[in-house]
Amino acid sequence: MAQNVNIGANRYDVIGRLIDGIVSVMITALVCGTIVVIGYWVYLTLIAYAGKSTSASVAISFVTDFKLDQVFAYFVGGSGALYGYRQRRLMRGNIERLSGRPRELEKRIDPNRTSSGLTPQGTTHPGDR
Amino acid sequence: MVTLDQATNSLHLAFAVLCLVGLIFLFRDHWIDSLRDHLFSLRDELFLYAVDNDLLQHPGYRELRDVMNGMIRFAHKLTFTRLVLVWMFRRRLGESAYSFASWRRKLLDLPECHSEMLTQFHWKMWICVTKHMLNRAIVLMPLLLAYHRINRLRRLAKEMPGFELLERQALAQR
Repeated sequence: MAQNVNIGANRYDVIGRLIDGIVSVMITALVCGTIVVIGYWVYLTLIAYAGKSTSASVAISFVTDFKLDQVFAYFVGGSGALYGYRQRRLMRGNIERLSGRPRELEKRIDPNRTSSGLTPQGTTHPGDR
Repeated sequence: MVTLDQATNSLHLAFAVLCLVGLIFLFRDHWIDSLRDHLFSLRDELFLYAVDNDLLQHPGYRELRDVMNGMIRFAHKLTFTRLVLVWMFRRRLGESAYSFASWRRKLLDLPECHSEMLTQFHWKMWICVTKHMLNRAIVLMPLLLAYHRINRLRRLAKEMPGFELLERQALAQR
């Protein structure tokens, strides 16, 4: 029975790694695929316009012809993302600051207490990525 | 013939889609942090319950805590895609020291109220994980709306195949 369980644990490890690999390939393919499609879309736009003007003028007009509503939309979107990012940094700092004491107190009550194995900021352990 | 306006609008659309990809990555991290936060709260509740009822050394409590720790650590890998893949590979997976049934057997020597409470903690954990997987799978978002009520999520968590296999994987990661 114990041997079967050991073989089972090894299988879980191997198949777990296989699944990790499949998921990683799928995510990479999805991200790369999206970037390639966007690149191709931009290329088609420039080609379609090439008969009338140069690609450079489209790129320049993209930067310079921002309408006020578009500028505002990008500003609001960008600010929201920045706000979220800064809140996340603050939260991780707070986790590091506040989690030490409860951990220590719990350890006093239960010396065999097991841990999640995350970093002090509560992020994924680098070895688990 | 494509006008300059059409061409720039088209580039704006491409740029906006790129921004959306970036946002999806930010949200993915948020959902992982959110799941871990919920699981930490649940683990704290479980710890306090165990302290109050003198269950700290009970194997049922210890194993449930280990599973929760595994889930917290494994949270970044908990996706619906993984659930489907694990379920597909289920026949190739061998025996494991952990199973939901073997864990329930460890609770048999406890009074009914404690055994029921620990089982509730276990289901609450699965409800958190189910919500997280539905959040992360954008195409499954409509399902989340359909199963918005907790009791329905609980039923979904009970009925969805492969959860026990994910628990075993989380334990194997530790």
